[in-house]
Amino acid sequence: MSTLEGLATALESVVGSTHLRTNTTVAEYAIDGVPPAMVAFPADAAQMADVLRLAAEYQATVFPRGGGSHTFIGQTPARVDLVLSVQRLQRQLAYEPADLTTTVQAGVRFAELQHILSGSGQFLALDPPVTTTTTIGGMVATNVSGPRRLLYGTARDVLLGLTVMTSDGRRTKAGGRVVKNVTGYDLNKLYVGSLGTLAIIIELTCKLHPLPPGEATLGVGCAHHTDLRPMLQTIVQLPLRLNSLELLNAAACEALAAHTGLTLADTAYMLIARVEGTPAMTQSQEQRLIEALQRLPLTRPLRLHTWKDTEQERFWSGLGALTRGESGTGPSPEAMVVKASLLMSALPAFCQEVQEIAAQAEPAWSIIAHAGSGIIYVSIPVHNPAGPDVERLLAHLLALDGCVARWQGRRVIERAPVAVKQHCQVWGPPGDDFALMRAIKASFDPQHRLNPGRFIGGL
Amino acid sequence: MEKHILQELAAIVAPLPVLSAPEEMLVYECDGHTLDKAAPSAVAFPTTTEQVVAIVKLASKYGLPFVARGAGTGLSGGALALDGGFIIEMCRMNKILEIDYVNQRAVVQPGLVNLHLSLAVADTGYYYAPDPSSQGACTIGGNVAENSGGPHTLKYGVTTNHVLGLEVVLPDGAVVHVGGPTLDTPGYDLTGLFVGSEGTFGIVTQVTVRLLRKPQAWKTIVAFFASVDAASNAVSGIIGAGIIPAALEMMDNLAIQAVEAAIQAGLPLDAGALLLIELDGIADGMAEDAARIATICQQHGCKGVRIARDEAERALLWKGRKEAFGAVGRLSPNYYTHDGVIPRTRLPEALRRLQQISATYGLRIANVFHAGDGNLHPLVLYDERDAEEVKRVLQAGEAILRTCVDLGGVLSGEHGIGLEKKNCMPWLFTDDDLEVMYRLRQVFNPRQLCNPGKIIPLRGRCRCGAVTTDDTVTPAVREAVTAAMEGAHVHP
Repeated sequence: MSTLEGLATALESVVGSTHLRTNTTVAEYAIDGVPPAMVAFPADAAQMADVLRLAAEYQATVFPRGGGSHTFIGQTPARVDLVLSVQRLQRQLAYEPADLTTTVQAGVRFAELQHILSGSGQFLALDPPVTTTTTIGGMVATNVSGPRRLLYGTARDVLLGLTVMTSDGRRTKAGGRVVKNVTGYDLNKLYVGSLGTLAIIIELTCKLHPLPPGEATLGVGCAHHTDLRPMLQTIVQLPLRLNSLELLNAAACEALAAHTGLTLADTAYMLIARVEGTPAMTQSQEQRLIEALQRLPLTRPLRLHTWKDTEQERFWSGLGALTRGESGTGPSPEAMVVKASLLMSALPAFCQEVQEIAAQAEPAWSIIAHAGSGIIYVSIPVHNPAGPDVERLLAHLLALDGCVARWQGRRVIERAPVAVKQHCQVWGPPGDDFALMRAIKASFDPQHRLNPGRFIGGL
Repeated sequence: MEKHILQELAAIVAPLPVLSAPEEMLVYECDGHTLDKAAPSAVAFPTTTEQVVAIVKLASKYGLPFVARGAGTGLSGGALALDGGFIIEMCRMNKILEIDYVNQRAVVQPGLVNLHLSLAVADTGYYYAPDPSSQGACTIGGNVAENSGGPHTLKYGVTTNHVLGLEVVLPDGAVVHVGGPTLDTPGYDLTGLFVGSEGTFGIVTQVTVRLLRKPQAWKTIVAFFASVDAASNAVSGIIGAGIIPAALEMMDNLAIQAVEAAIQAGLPLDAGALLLIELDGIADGMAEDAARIATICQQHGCKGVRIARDEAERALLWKGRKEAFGAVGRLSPNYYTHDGVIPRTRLPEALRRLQQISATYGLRIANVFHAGDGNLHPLVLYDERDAEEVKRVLQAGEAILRTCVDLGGVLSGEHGIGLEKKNCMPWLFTDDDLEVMYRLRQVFNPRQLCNPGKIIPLRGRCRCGAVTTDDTVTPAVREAVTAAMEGAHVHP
């Protein structure tokens, strides 16, 4: 009996045969096409601890998994012994609306949690492009974010406390259940976005926000990239309750129009601003936005679009789907998505440079940016997902990396064909703080068994 | 300390002097936490990152401990040189290096006074949001170490939500850059980890912070209640109604009396408690929110509501709040400031328990605190000349923190653990939890020379002290801001 067979037998006695998958039934849990030897679904923290202790004993590599909606993030693993799913940890452990906090298990699905919270007029202020299976634990581990981050921040800003399982199956915690806390080191920050390489998140306490009474969305066509800078600068300085400020290029607008059936500008770029408040408040903010933009000396007259009610919902859910790239989640995506972080002021010139690189490419590359936060997603079509043109994609990446470096940004390849990932650093080159990161990883996971090889610099 | 070490230290920071005379060390034997004292062997004032590196390497060479210190306003003994060695006083590194208005960022040195940053960018319509009550004295570097808060953190978050990147000198002398001006830096969030590490991971030498646009409008409301209970229920009512004010502060009767004596704002001396509530943001809708707040307060038995008529009245009310700790000093020779947090719905219960603790130990307790966050600041009044009373003060302090933990809260909301509360850590954390923290510290600080003996329990007692400062913008402050801005690179 091989070591892994021995582990499977041992795990079966912990989680039961119905909650352990082996052999042929594991294909859908493959990571970048690498199938796991087994998938375990522990029922609770105690089983999770036992599973981790056994994995340690058998020296198996462990890949934590939430809803599986973002497993494409990260470097391709060499070998996958055990996928450890948190999806049965589904309980909401505490919710006191008047405290504006909730504690949930990691496998609680994001969409379901939002539904529960909306019953009390509240929400968790994260809006990454998710699927119905996305879990809270997975969202925090991958630190995915969306347009509302402009006003509400990201996971690091809403997370109050965590319970995690260490690689040797010990339950430890960070933070607490209160909204303000400096009791000990802020380990929450370390676990956010650590891609399950340090420990496995099993419980989370989050700060909540009241749902805004209403929202309004204004789209502004922008004919020339030189107009972008004054427009962005004007918008962020206006007195607004602005929760999103997005930038789309023409290709993204076209795709979004096709996806949603909405009419979007046919200009080179489009800026989308979303404000919140009561109807009277959103109306006056919209007015203020329009007046301020109309005063700008732009190369072309303004083209304005406003979306209300269901149209507004369609717009934002369509944008989320487009950012995520609904088509293909496996090792052969239809687009390669690069996420760059830049200063907002660098965005217009960066976009223009990317457009120039893309000009020779067919079909066009789409650009969707959380402009107010300086986060930009460049989506490069993969011609033949089953047999991608690796050389061409790598050449595009090289050119993109040049732009990112020129504008002093950082970038992550969020999604790419495995054949491309094998030839590049998906997290970009590490900085001078990498020795610390490596030492932290070694301190938490000395045997290098948690999601090994998937994070920055091969961590 | 051996003379040749002092000479080597002096050579690093020359021409600035190194302090080492015993009488000079008295100033540095504690910070705002005055109940524990330990003198360093020498104090140096570096002016560059390179000098900090050289000092750290020197300490390392001789196996000497070292502690970075900002303004010394910390309230948990974070800047106390427990094992002697060097205090690296950062106040000479107080420049604003860069202001980037378009991207709403600034790069500053750690010794810059918190308020000076807001003053430097005020005319352009910006400010730096974290506003600890000591902001007229405390430094940004100290704020980073302690992850400091302030009244307006209810809406805007604490220091960690406003720090984007750091330059840090590690305990082995290596200089690393974590985070940066852009967001979502790939890899572990070491910026988030450094903020609040209380100077035990290294010494911050440069800080990139967010600047915010000043709100278009404010509304400052004071509501008076017959009892602390009624005011606490109003707090839950306001938060529960989905209104997040910029600040939501409470004072009890004892605090009101002290503050009124200090600022003469016409606060009713017979009120059991008051809430100081500030709304800020866009002007639209603010009047409606203010009206809703007034209604909620009335539903909870409010005896009167006053809305600041102008900026002068608003400033006066805030002066009262920010100087409240100092004002409480009028009531008693000494007071001891606590900083616990509870879930905000437990406020009424927490304050009832505080009254019981006050009665049990025969000590007066004044409360001035961030009610909206559930961040309590009970001030226990005492006379340090009465040794028996000091003993009861320490016991009462322990009872206060126990109450916070019992109610589902934590040991500190903004003052830190430092030396003061490290022995209380096991009330909240298991050995496994603490071991993770310990191992993490070993990664940064393997020889434990950098601010030794803090946060994780090994020795010491659990107790507190306090300081206050004046936030008034005097000509001297103006001058300091101008000096800090000298040579700053400003992108309009």
